[in-house]
Amino acid sequence: MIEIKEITKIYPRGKKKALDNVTFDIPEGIFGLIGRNGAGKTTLMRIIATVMDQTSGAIMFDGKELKANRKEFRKSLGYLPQSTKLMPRLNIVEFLDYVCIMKGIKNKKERKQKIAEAIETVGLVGEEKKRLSNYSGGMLRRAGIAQALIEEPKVLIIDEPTTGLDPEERLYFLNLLSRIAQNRTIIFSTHITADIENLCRNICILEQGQVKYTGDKSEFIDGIQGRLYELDGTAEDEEKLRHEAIVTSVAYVEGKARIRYVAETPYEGSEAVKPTLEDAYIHALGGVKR
Amino acid sequence: MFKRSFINGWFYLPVTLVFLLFASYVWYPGPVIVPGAMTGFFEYTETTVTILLAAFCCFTLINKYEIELGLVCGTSTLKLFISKVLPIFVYTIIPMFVILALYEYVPYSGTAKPVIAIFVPENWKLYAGLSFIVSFLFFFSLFCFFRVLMRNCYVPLFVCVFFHCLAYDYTKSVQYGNTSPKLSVFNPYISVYMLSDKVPDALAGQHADLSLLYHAWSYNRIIFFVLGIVLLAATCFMLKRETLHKGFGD
Repeated sequence: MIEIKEITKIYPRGKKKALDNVTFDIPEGIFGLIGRNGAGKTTLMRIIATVMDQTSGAIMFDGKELKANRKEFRKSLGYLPQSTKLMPRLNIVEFLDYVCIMKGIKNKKERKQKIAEAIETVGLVGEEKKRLSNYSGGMLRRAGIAQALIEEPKVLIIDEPTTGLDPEERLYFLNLLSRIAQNRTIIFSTHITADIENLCRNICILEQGQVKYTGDKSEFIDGIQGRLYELDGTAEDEEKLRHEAIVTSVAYVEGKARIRYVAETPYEGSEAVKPTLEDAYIHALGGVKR
Repeated sequence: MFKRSFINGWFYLPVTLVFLLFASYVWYPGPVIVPGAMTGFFEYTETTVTILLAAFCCFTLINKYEIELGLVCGTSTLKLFISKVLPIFVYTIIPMFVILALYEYVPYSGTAKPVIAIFVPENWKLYAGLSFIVSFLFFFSLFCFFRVLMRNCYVPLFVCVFFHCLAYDYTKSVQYGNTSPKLSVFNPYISVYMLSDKVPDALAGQHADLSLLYHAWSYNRIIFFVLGIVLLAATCFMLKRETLHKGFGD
C-alpha cells in the first residue's frame, strides 16, 4: 500500500503550485490517475518515483516513509516516464543490458536471462536486433515497460503510456498491463478515461493540483447514475443546457446535436442513459468546454 | 556501464577533429590553404572553438532521461556522471595531443605565420596544445556546472564568447603596440605566452608595465586547471546530492 499524505509541490520558478495538499491511498492492483494536461499527474508520478522531492507532505510505502528509505524503495520500483527517449542507437538487448548494469546486476548470465524474460513478457521477441530508433511508438512503449520490469518490481509507475499510440497498439499495451498486474501495484496515469474504464478498480482524479475524487471507480460513476440524460437536439438546446445543467459531451451528427448532460430533471425529449467513467469525469470537472 | 559509455561516445572523436581543423587555421595555416585575407577571420576561432566544443560536449553529457533512469535504477549519479565524462576526455584530449604533436613534424608553407608565434619562441605548438586542453577542461567544467545548477549553460556560454572577443582586442593591442590592454582571463594567447614564461625583448621595451602583467599571469594555466577540476567536482557533488530532486529540467 502506498499512502500519499498532504503532498504539496511548488516549483521555484514562477512559484507555480503543481500539487496542493494531495492525499489518497494506492492499494495493490492497477490504480488509475486521471486528469487534464497540467493537472499535476506527472509531477505526482515523479515524486512517487523518487525522481523529484515534494515541497511538503509525505509518502509511505508499506508503512515506511519514502524519502528516508529511497534506496530501498527503488529496488522495488519500475518507472516508465511520460517522455521516454530511450537510447536510439542501441537495440533492445543492449539497452536492457545497460539498465541491468545500472540496477547492479553484475552476473552476465543473470542479466541475459532477465533480458530474455522481459523481452518475452512485452512481446518484442524477434525485434532484438533492431535499433530502438527504428521501433514504432507502441514498440518503444513496450521497450520502456521491459526496462521497468527488470528485477520484478513490486511497484510500477507508468506515466501516460498510451498517448500517441494507434488503437491497436493502445489495446495491446493495455492488455499487457493487465497481464503484468498480478501481485504488484501499478500506478497508471492518463487523460484518456477509456484507458482506465476496464483496467482500474480504484482511481484518483486530479484537477489543478488538487484531488477531485479518490476511491472506487464504480462508486464514482454511480454518483451520477439516474441523473445522466441524452438528447438529440439543436445548437439552441445545447446553449440552454449549458446554462441549466452540466453537459458532459456534445457530438454533431447529420446536423443534430447529440447532447449528454447531468441534471436533476430531464429536458424535454431526453432519455436516461447509463453513465460511463468519461461522463462522471467530465461532470466532476464542471462540464465539457466549448 | 563504462564500456557502454565509451561505445556510445565515439562520435566525440569526429566532432573534435572537425573543431581542431578549424582551430588549426590559427596555429598553423600550413598545408591547410588559407587565403591571406581570411586569416583574420580564423584568428577568432581558436578559443571560440574550444568554448563551443566544450559546450557541445556538456549538452550531450547531461541527458535528463538517462540520469532519471539511473536514479530510479538505484545507480550512483556520481558513477553515472563519471562514466560519461571519461569518454569525452578520452575522445577529445587524446586526439588533441596526437594532432598537435604531429604539427611538430609538419613544416610551414606559405608566408603566413600563426599569430601566436610572435609571442612564444620555441615549442609553441606544444604550449598551444596544452593551453587548448586546459581551456577545454575549464570551459567544459564551467558549462557542466551551470547545466546542473541552472539547468542551462547559455549564460556562461555567451559570457565566455564575449570575454574572448575582449581578449582578442587585447592581443591585437599588444601585437601592434597600441593602447593599454584590457584584462581578460580567458585569453588563450596570454595563457600560452605565460606557459613559456618569457617576454620578448621588443615587446618588453614597448610596454614596460606589461612585463609585470605577464609575470602575474604566469600562473593562470594552473588556475584554469585547478578551477576546472573544482568545477567538475562541484558538479559531481551536486549530482550526487540528487539536486535533480528539485526538479531538473522542469
